Amino acid sequence: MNKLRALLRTRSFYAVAGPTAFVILWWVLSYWNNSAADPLVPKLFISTPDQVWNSFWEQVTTTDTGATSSLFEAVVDTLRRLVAGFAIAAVIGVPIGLAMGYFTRVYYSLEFFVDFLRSIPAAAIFPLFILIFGIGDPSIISVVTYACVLIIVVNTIYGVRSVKELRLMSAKIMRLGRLDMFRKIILPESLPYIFAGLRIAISYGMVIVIFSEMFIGTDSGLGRRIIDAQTVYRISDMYVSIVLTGLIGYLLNKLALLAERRIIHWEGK
Amino acid sequence: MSVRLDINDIKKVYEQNEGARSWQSLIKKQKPGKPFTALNGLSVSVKAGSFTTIFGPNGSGKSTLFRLIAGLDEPTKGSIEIDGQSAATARIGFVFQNYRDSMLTWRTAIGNVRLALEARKVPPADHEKIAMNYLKKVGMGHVANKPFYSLSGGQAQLVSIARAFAYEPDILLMDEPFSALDFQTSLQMMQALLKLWEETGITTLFISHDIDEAVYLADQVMVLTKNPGKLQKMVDVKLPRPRSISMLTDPAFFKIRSRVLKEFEKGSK
Ligand SMILES: Nc1ncnc2c1ncn2[C@@H]1O[C@H](COP(=O)(O)OP(=O)(O)OP(=O)(O)O)[C@@H](O)[C@H]1O
Ligand SMILES: [Mg+2]
Repeated sequence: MNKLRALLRTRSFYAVAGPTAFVILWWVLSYWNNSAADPLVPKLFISTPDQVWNSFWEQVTTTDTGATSSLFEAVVDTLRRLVAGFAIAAVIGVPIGLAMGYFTRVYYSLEFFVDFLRSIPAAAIFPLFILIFGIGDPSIISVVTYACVLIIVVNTIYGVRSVKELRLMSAKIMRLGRLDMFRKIILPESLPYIFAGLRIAISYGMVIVIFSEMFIGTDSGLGRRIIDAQTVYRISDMYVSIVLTGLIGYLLNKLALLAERRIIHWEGK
Repeated sequence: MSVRLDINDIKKVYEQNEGARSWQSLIKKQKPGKPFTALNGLSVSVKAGSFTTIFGPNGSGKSTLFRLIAGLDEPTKGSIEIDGQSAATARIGFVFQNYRDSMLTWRTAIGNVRLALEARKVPPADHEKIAMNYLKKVGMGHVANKPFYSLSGGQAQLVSIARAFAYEPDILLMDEPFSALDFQTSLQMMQALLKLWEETGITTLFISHDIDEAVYLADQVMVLTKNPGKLQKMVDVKLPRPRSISMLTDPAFFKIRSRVLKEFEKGSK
């Protein structure tokens, strides 16, 4: 009894209980719907968890499902595009954000472009990238970069702005060099914001990869699989790719959080 | 080695609307805010190696004076000289009341002291030894490798004092360093500070709002008038050193304390 009560107080209990409850609910509702004489939602659109699991197992174990590539390859393709686009965005975005946050002149010179580009959705710019880069990875990667880079820039600017005046002042009194000031004070103090930006960017990047794979971007990847399964009404197959997309997004976010806690160990203390 | 500090007829006027000009001011003549005089006609000479406390009402320009000495701001009129030279080349140590915002939260205690050594370009091989030495002098050797955020208020402030001394300044400026600490802790801090000061003989200026603290620490108490600030009276404190807590109840201490209080009241009228 006491053990049960102790268990009810742990966080991991709820972290497991929530998703489990969700699957059970899904199970009950989908079975109830699909076994009714007059289903609320057409049976065709609803898969039960075991159907989805079977479809997943089938896609993993059989090599030939009529699709052009395996499920594993699709995951790899999607991840590659996401990570490449995101990495390029980080490499470009963080330095631009730092420069904009630190130098007022750079900020005012670029402020218009950043706000202007932020108002253009990635979807609107995608056709242009296809024209420039052709159909395939380069256009998808560049649209991911486009979507991520602005988020990273804006958050990095906030990070630099969050640096405490007093800390800069005490470094200035000690005549710390400009480069040291940057490396030893501004950069570490901006890190929490930079990381927040990176995490938001990678989640948003996932949205963009899936979206662009669905349309004329490519013939592989999870987004492609979702649309392919949908057009031939292989609903369970479609759910498999949707759930996988969600899981990958979840894992990426967890990974980023883990890295963040290790690097920014002082945050919130 | 110690330096003398001369403050010659200083005046500081803050121009209120400076820097805050908007585009509207280009087409429409804006009334500038009223300039504000923080200091007016402050002259004082501080002996080399002495400990001076500054005692004056809120807004009498104490922090302003420190900003001017540290070279963070220019006096409107008058000059500040260190050993007869312009103060601009002097090395200044600064201890702020708000140690949380002036120290590097992401470093350890010893890492914070090391910043002062990095600033004055001490060869890195010697950092560990010198930094540890200064930490031990304020009795903080045992927290050397603790993250700064985990230190108590008193420990954190002692580490920031160690950092200031590690910078080996010509002049040490302390702006209400103990006012966020409880009575017991600030007593310990005073002892640690005096010990280090006696060892190094650095010319020290210390702003205090606590009359007992001001008298106890000082060779002389600089009493300032209410705004705009100038010198009301320099009160000599002829008490033997090293000071001990029992002096706080000494009749000689009380006599000096009453003189300071009288001057303070005169200056605040
Ligand atoms: N940057 C500034 N611009 C305009 N006015 C200022 C500025 N800094 C200080 N002042 C004004 O100058 C006066 C003196 O300020 P200062 O901070 O030097 O006082 P202080 O003696 O340190 O006061 P306290 O005891 O409250 O710390 C105050 O009235 C303050 O409002
Ligand atoms: Mg002040």
